Amino acid sequence: MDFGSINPDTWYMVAKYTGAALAVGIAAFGSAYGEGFTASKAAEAIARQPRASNEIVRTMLITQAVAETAGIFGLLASIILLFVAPTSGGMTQAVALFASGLCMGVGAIGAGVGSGQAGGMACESIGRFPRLSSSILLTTLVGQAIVQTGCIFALVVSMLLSITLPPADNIVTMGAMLGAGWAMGFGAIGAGISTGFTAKQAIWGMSRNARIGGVLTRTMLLGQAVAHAGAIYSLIVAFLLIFGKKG
Amino acid sequence: MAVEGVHLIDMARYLGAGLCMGMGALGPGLGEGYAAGKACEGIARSPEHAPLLTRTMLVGQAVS
Repeated sequence: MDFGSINPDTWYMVAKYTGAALAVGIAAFGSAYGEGFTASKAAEAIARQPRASNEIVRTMLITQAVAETAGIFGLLASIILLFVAPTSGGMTQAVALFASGLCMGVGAIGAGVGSGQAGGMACESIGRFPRLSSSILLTTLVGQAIVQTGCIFALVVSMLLSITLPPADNIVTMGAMLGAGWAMGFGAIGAGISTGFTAKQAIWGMSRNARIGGVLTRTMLLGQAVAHAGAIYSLIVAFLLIFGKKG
Repeated sequence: MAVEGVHLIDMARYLGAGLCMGMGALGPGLGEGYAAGKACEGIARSPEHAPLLTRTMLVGQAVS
């Protein structure tokens, strides 16, 4: 097989389509896993407490919708790659498009799984204590929203990689673009999954001890903010790699 | 474009920085959130120890 005769523009299109596929495909995995977990917890809760099934199903659908936003960000990044990114360019931009897709896809895994954990615990708790459903749901939505911020970082880096032109067309910039995409993508996984666990335990606490709801929510937000530190460092490194001057 | 050895080294530097940050943020990210979750659970079980639990959580997260 002789790859030397292939037009460079073809590689650009290959990278573009591969990136678009990765962005939505891997992101869909994350949000689907999370939503499935939520559904399983809802089924468990309904089995334990059939009379509360309306409340439980309502909670499940709402929390699944929030978990789905990770997949929607992936779809958005994919559409940007397919229709908004330039239709032809050099090899460096091709690598940047691939990195953009990788970044969004992988970055959405954590947020989807984490939101699902929180949603699952919400369904379980509302099954046990239906009277507390409004405060539990509020805590869940706040916690899930913070979980999604890691995914938003990944979306920002993904858009930067796909829309802005690389500063130079050489192999050094290729490495920097791929590094930036990888950094933000994998940096967001850990923060997403663990902030979801934080929200899950805060919801558990809210259901057992609703009087101290304020303290619990504050602790949850504090813990989630610190847990996002790794993702923020990844964001900074990604910015430096994309915009920094490379000699 | 003619690729020279020094270019490859520079590329590897930037790629390595990205790989390192990405994989390096995975572990602490997982751990810090777990610590925060257990702190929330602990506060729910015994609210009178909330300041101590929060302090312990922050110290543990800082180390991680």
